[in-house]
Amino acid sequence: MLALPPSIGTLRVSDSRHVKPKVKPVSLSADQVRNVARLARLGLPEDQIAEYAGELSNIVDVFAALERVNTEAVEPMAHPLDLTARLRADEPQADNQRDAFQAIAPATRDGVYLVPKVIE
Amino acid sequence: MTDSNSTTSRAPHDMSLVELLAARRTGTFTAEAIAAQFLDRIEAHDPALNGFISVCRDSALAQARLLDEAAAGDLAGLPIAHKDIFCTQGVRTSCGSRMLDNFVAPYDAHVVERLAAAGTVMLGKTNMDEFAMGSSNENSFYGPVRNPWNADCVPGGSSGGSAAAVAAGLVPAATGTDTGGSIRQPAAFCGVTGIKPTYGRVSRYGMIAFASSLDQGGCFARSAEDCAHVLQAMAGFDARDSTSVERDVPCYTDGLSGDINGLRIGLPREYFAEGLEDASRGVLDTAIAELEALGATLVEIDLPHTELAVSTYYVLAPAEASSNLARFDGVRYGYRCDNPVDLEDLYTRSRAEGFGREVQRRIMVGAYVLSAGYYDAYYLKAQKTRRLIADDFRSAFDNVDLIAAPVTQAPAFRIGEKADDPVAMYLNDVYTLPASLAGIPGMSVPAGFVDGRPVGLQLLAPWFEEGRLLNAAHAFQQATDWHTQRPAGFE
Repeated sequence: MLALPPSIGTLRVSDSRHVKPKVKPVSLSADQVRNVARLARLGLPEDQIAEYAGELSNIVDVFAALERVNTEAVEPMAHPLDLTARLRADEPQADNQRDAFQAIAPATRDGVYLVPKVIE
Repeated sequence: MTDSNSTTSRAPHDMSLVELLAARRTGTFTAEAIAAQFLDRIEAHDPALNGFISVCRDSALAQARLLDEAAAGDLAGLPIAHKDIFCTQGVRTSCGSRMLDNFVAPYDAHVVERLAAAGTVMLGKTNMDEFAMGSSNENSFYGPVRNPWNADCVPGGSSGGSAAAVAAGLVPAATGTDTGGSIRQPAAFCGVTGIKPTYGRVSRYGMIAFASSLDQGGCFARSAEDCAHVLQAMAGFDARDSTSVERDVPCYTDGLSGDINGLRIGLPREYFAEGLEDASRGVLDTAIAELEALGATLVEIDLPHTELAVSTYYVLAPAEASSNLARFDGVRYGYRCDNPVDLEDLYTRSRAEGFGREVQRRIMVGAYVLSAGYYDAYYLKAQKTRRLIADDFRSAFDNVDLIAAPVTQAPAFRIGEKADDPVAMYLNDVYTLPASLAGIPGMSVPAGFVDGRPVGLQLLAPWFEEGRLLNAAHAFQQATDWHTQRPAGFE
């Protein structure tokens, strides 16, 4: 059998695409966490903000590896097969299933979904 | 392989899928008797494993009786379990989340439809990491799944319930989904065979979305041959999934010649470097030597951007997740908080109470990398590094037919061991993420044990070469018996 290479140290990007590392740990502040939670409509209790800030900072720090690679000439890849979404004719496809869908809704009346009043 | 005569004295859970189908066809067992025996095993063993979120005894037996009256489909009478991410009409589809604990799907996923049309009998829905986010099944609202080989260890994730159920012989086959390794890693940890097809091969219709450019349905069974039968029924074009690929599905079962003579198998240097534990490496060396003994030619290859996979994936997947999970708003279905004071409170509290911690972390990471000022630095950048990773595979496959690699650095870890450290959990996915990012098909094949815990061999093939993958795994399983071993207590 072919001899496998001995351990060669940590994984390295081993080509000329390397540019000078400019790695700086990113720390998310409590305000940044409040802001992303607001954008994501997640009501975080105030006493969890600091903990999330630490966890999210650790995660975002991992992304620093991306900065080390020169991607100037690389096209972004949005789809693994580089296909664009298929279109179909704009024709009705299915019967109205409102009753089936609303049967599992938290609150409905007369075919509409109920939410708290938004206009006084 | 056992000839059909000897099936008379064996229980259904001791049979391969092919033997089981034959036993029903020849009248050794009715579909109802087969379903009942597996349901009894679930009842006896699952309380210790927690592999199932829902068990559908009555509907399964009724469906089996119908098949006994008029059998139809290539898999007539085969019991199956679906990962609870696949919508099943009239049956709770929780996705492992409090958010969907009360969600009874109003329609079937394409995969569920196809497998039902093939004659499978659904025994239940399997446990999983919430919204498929996790590598240990510890992130389920329904509690962790235990590994049948060692109850103190995780089964892997996110499709941990499916892998554990197949390993314990509670069901002959189960569906799963793989976004960054969620079929291959639990298959490796539980000592079963799992296949993630090419992105686009299996329809995502009715499969609850996590990261839509990565999500792909697949399956678990004990052997590659069994997987070939299940995948055959699952794969194919579906107009309702805009990324489903219009391309003929070859006959996977006919392709199982068991001959891999002359096949060129690449061994990526980056996957056999530091990080891979020595004991697992020893198991893999032996397995790879077996492939060589079967006539394969081994070639060392480079996949130089491998180290970028973790950061690339953990930008892209949360970004897509934050968008996909925006739909869970407490208005149309799923969890709604008590007594919302206004619409904003309804949204924010339903989501904070309905989603678990890891899901909330990923949604926030996604919102962060997509937010103004960071989009180019993170999201767009990761889409570019994704292409570098995919191009690594494209170049490698110019020279080799398949790639063999580890699935994980070590066998299953202990429950709780990494639960408090998301980054340690993420780094664990380093060998499965690159294939997901590239969209190529991959398998995990049982290859041996370390301290009684299974080790999986990962096989990767070029886009749409699932047949080549299954045949190589089949050849390996003709020469080895790792895939037939059963954990103690589940014989």
